[in-house]
Amino acid sequence: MTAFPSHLPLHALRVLDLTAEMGSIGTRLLAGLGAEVIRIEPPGGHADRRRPPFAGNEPGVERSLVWFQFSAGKLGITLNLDQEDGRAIFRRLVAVADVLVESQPVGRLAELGLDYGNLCAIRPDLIQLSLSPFGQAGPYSRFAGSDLIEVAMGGLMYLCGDPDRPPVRVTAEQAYAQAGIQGTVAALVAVWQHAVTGEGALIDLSAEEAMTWTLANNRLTYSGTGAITKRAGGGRADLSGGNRIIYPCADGYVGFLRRSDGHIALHHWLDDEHVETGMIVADLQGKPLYGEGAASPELRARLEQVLQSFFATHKKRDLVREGQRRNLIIAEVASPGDLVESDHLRQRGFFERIDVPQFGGSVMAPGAPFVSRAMPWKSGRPPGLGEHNLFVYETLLGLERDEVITLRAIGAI
Amino acid sequence: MASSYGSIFEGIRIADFSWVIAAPLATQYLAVHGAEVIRIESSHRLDTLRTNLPMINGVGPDHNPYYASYNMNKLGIRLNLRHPRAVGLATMLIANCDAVVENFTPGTLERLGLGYSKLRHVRPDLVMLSMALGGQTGPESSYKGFGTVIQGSAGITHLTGWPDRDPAGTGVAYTDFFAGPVAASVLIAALMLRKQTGLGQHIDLSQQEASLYALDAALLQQTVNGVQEMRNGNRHPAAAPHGVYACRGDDRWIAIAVFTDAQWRGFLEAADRPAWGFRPQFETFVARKAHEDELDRLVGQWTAAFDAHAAMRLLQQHGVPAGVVQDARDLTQDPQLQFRNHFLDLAHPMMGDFPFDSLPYRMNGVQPVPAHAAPLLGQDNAEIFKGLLGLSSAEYEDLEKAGVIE
Repeated sequence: MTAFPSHLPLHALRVLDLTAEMGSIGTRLLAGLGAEVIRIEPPGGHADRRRPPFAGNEPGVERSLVWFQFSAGKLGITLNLDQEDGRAIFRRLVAVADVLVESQPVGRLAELGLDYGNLCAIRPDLIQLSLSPFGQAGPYSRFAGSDLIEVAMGGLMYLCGDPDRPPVRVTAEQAYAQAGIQGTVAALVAVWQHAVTGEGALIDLSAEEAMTWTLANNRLTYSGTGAITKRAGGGRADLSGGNRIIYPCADGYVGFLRRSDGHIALHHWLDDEHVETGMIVADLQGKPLYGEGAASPELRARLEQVLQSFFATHKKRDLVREGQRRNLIIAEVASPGDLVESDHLRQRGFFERIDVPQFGGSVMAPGAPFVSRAMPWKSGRPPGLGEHNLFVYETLLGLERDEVITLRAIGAI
Repeated sequence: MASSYGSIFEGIRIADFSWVIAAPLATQYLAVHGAEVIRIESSHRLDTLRTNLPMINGVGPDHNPYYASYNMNKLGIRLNLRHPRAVGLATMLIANCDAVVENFTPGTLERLGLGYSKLRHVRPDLVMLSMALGGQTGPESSYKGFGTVIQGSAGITHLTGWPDRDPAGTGVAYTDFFAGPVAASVLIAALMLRKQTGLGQHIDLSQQEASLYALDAALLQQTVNGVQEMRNGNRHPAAAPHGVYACRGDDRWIAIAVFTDAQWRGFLEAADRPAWGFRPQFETFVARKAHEDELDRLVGQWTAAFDAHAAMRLLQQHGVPAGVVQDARDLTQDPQLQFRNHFLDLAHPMMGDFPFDSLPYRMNGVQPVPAHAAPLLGQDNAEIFKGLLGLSSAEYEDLEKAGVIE
């Protein structure tokens, strides 16, 4: 096979990353696709650098693994926007940038004289992606946000958890991540448009609105029928027909999706494993599990019990391997340890070894979310604090060393 | 310039062989912005979402808002890919397309005679995005799944829920909603590369791998520190109180997240300076964290007297991050979503007017409103087979009779 020449489609795109709490996974995706992403931090370092876990459990400014995950592959500069000299530098950066992604508190950039209108005077075709909890205007636009709040307000939290406990958030920070990844789509739409028309754009993305896209058909069901879906525990969801999905097994959990057309295969499996289902199979003969002409609730409940005890006495990988061999929809509930040890991910080369001078060594880090010979993922490590100040200020902006030193001395960078 | 940024991808045509959520969601971004995205469907393999409940205004594959919500602005044709005469027709269609998107089990398209190795000779600059659950290669690439279950293999389920309970999972096929937008960006980037260089490519995007980026630092914590993160309910290592508290009424809750001293003082003001709030065990963050169970109980006692929205407004007035755990009805009544005109009534030929979700961004203040709702099954057969591919009426009818075109 001939090798394709490798290209990075966004290699000519310069992105200023002024994200605060939300969106930096989105700018990491831009970096991975080849963009030059310059993460702008306050001189003391971005707040993400304080977030545990830390490499080796040492809380140093270069050791946050959250910072790593969000900033890998980016350049890093320090800049103080609260100072006039810092803002002057920022304007010069905008002049040489294509895209600005920001998630500063609503109104902050305007207060600093750095709103889109002002920046367009410098760079008329600037693409600015503004991420915020609820949008740049409107009755909730000045609300204090946090990922927990936007996950709650956007409707996903109501659907998650056990019925006898409060609703529970999804792991990590999904509102922040959704704002980021959906924002990146919007930014690329604008970049495409710019290539055709030469125009820039101001993109105003609401994290709450982004979260409404994670509700499957639950809001649609309300709009169509007035029924409000509630959390049901056990991983039950719209496509599970109300059936439990998460089953404890001998060494963890599996997820198993019952489908009407799969229950014959399930019964054969149970039979082959000498599980007492004889009566159930006979009673179920020909009847679908649910829907019209379905088996009785009592029968389904007995099957459920049989299933639970079958899963409980087997290991998850064995269950998944055999279940999949029988064309059943079953998957491991993988822990982080399971993922790191996964043969599948290892053979696909998902984890990459990245040199991290800040750690004095290298780490295995999540790598490309896709594989393409013609368009390789741009890996990297996170930047050290101010690591690219000289490159950006001297090489890109043409400042003299004395100027850079002065800016440093006054705390502007 | 179109008034709603609906022609940005004008001139881009995509053969969309995908089904269910993740891949159709990805191509929908391009469809709303003007790409001609053609869903290729068949009664032999009806998109699951076309069979879902509820159905609106009738029963059948064209009465499903679920299907419609991921296929706005797309065209739809019916082609039985398993008919031996279909491969020629599909190949002809792809020859007229800039991209192909599919999420079949790996090997399926190859067996149908539509693998990339063949298609790149038909159309050398073709961009093909394959979005199988576990990718095209690897020991689990043949595994079957849906997002409801794949969230488990993507590590999300294990980390969601309470530490003293079985994992709760998310109650939705969450990986679809993560892999979808990631794939959309990758697809646009690939089309950009093609525009710059004339080169096509085959992208192997694993929904599982894309979704691993939803886990933030959990994987690095494992690889670097050998420490396995555990689900932690609604708590946060740098905030207290940080959780979900019951309000007045049935199953009504408010989320509260206090990160700073100022926010804690704001909470105390909002709560009318309760005596308990000034005890030493709640004075500092460290102290609040050490007494978090008691803190949560006391906060919950306070919120219990309030209507959830009233508590939110009161807390927000005092600078405290707070938000109602909104259900579907709350969303439709949400004044901020209304301000953003979030719910778009699109006229659907079979369902009538139905409110769909708007994309979550505005470009220069303009909302990207789809020109039309999702396609009916086979709605654009004539336009595509006769119009685009130039089949004569006789050829078309012959293929219909033979069951190639449905």
